[in-house]
Amino acid sequence: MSELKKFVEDIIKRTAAEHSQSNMFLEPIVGFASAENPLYDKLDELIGRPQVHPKEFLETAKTVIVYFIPFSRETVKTIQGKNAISKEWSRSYTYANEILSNIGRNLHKELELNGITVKSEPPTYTNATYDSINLSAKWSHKSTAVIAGIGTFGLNHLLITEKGTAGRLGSVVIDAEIEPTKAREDSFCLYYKSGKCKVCVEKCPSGALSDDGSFNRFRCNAYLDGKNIRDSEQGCGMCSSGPCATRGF
Amino acid sequence: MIVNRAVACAVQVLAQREGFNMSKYTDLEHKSALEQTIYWDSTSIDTPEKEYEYGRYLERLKDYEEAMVYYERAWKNGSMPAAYLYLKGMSRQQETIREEKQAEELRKTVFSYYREKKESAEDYYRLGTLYKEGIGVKKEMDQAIQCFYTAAEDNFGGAFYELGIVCLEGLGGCEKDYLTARKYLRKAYDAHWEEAIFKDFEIFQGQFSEYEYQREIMEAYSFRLGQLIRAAELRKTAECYQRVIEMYQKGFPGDTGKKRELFIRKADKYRN
Repeated sequence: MSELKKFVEDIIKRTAAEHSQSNMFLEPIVGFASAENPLYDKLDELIGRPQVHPKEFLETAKTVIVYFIPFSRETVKTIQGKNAISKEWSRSYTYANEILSNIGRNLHKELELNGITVKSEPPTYTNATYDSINLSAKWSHKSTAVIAGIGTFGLNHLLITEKGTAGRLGSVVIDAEIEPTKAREDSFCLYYKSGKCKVCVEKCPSGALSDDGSFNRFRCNAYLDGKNIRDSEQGCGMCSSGPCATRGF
Repeated sequence: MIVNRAVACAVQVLAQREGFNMSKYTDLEHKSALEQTIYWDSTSIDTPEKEYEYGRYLERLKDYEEAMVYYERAWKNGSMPAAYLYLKGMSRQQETIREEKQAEELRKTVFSYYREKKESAEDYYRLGTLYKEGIGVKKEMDQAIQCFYTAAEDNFGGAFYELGIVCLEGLGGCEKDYLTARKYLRKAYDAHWEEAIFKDFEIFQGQFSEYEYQREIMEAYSFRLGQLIRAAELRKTAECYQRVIEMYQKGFPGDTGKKRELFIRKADKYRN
């Protein structure tokens, strides 16, 4: 089991390092969740919308592998303290998606060569997996990341890891067993820890975030549609560029 | 009486038409505008027609002052549609063309153009607005309503909007009809006329929690805010910043308490 774990981690880290723009990212954080984890049965209720259980995704699922690609500090600095997105940030999003695709493809290829079945979602959702009316997906990489202990939810409704919140997530489901990594008992979010911070709420231009922990995704999405309407550089980034951008607390 | 019957019939006829899914409005606008951005990035703006279309693209992005630059260029190069939008823009900004004689000639020329043209729903709509506002012609509300009705038959959003205003304000001898006005405004928004949802919200007589289109107004507001902020980032003019300040100062539909205070703080930041 531990050999398989190392094999998977090597694939992920090697694939990320091979990308031509790997210098824009830090080393991936990798976690593992058991497909039997009872939290998966509660996700529908916790999230408030129907979610796909790992075993619905892959009937013989045993493990969900999740990986977070953190943006580099240099990239984060280009938007910290500012109200506008930068080219570096926007490109990091694009390159991170390429890395996630490559990781997914390599995991498929190398694990399947070893007789392991792999199922995955693409880094950006397709029409088949994403409800563009209600703005919701049925597979939550973030939830698996929390279950696998590589991070916790922040007030910004993003995953905060030990390397911060600025980054991109991916996950795959396999039918082989790998020992799960433990979920965290405390939060990486400074607000949930101590009641301080709330920079994400203050910075959000559309007021989509609130200090009661709620997030209005319709406000956020519509704001992004308007903000990015004329640019090839896409994104906002305000909620992931505060103190937790590059570190968990 | 004929006009009133026409308006009354219009509701029944046009009410049968289905609207589009409003919750995808901002996504579709985003996609369409991105396509246009790519197009304009590689297109020379070297004819009055292109100057006019580029001005329309900019106006759609809420980049009003820059749009007016292109409308003025296009109009002076012979584009009457651009002249129409230039006059509308001046009116919106409460400005006037310096020489009143030149302005009056332009208004008459634009009116003659649309009185003759009448080829599309948009032409009828524009002619209707000229009659309604007395631009280049004496104000004639019944003519305006007929034009709006014709344009609305072809599902032109602006025409539904204007018919909504007719019903709301009891123009042209029509009875004031709040409910019919709101039906028209809904149809206008269904037909991509963004201003309609703002007008509908403005006239709604009730608490925000009772408003039927909470998601639509929320999305429309956020969408507009995003566009205005982007225009302000690019142009850095007092006018652009002022529009952002006004959006924040007005507050987000339904926001109260801390959220409202947050937006006031944002307005103050832009002021400084």
